[in-house]
Amino acid sequence: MVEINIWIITTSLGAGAILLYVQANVFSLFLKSYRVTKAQQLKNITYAFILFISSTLSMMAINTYLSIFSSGLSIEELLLYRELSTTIYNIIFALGLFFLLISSTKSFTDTILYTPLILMPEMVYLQIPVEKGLLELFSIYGRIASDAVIIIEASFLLALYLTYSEKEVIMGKLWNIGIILIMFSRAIDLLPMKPYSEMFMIFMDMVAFILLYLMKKEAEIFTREER
Amino acid sequence: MKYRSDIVIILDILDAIGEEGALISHISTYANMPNPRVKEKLDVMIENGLVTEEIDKSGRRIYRLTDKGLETREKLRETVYMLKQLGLIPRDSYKP
Repeated sequence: MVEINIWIITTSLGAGAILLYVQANVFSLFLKSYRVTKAQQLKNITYAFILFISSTLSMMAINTYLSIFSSGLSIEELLLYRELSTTIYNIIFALGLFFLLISSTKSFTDTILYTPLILMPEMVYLQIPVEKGLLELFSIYGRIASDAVIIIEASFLLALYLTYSEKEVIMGKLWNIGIILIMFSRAIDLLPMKPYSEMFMIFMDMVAFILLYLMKKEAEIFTREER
Repeated sequence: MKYRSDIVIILDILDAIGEEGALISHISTYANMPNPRVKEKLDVMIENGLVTEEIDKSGRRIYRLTDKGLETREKLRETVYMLKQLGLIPRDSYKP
């Protein structure tokens, strides 16, 4: 069991490093554009990426700590802290998706987008069994709630994609695939498949952001060709 | 009139000015915006060093893109392309 946890911590760190690079790369484009335009939409997207990067950094920081000090921790502590790192990652990631959603110009989102934020605390509080410790509660129920919120947010993003994006361009479909992967990984995480579902989740997020990175590369080529 | 995001409006103005420079009336027609609103946006762009204002021989005010303006136009095109692909702005909101 200890070996599995150490293995998961190490691979999470590797996937986290790739995720961080890709997120920072895409973020730089939106940040540069925001600096000159000060557009509200770009401001929200910038916040979204700051949150995505923070979620990855928080996950990596806890996993780095665990990989250094794992020998001094009991199996229960190792399990709890590892789960905690994924829960914190998931909650900040959900907030990032929320900012990405409110950056949309579509009006219907203005009214229904508050649903996830209202849902999140309710889902946690409804399921609190009093006999468990606070950290344990947070890692288990916070995770379930954030998984559900991410699935809801991702389905809104998917709806936006289907309504707005250019159907004839292949690269846009990559984002579609990325969102589906994020939703699928959270649905798997709701099943009793831990700790493997955690690994799967981080890898699927990594793939989704790599697809976003490829879209950015395509945007560079497209605008260059246009000149 | 359809809602256009600020990014698309700014990009339309930068496109209207182009490499040759343009009069405010041309920018206004291209960007489909009234002159005072275009002037407002242009003032901010001048302040940010994206655009310069020159008076030609016949006394007309011509707006030109600076190097920073050209670079910004490039970045904004990439950004708008990305946002359209992500479905975060309508597909018909910007046609280069």
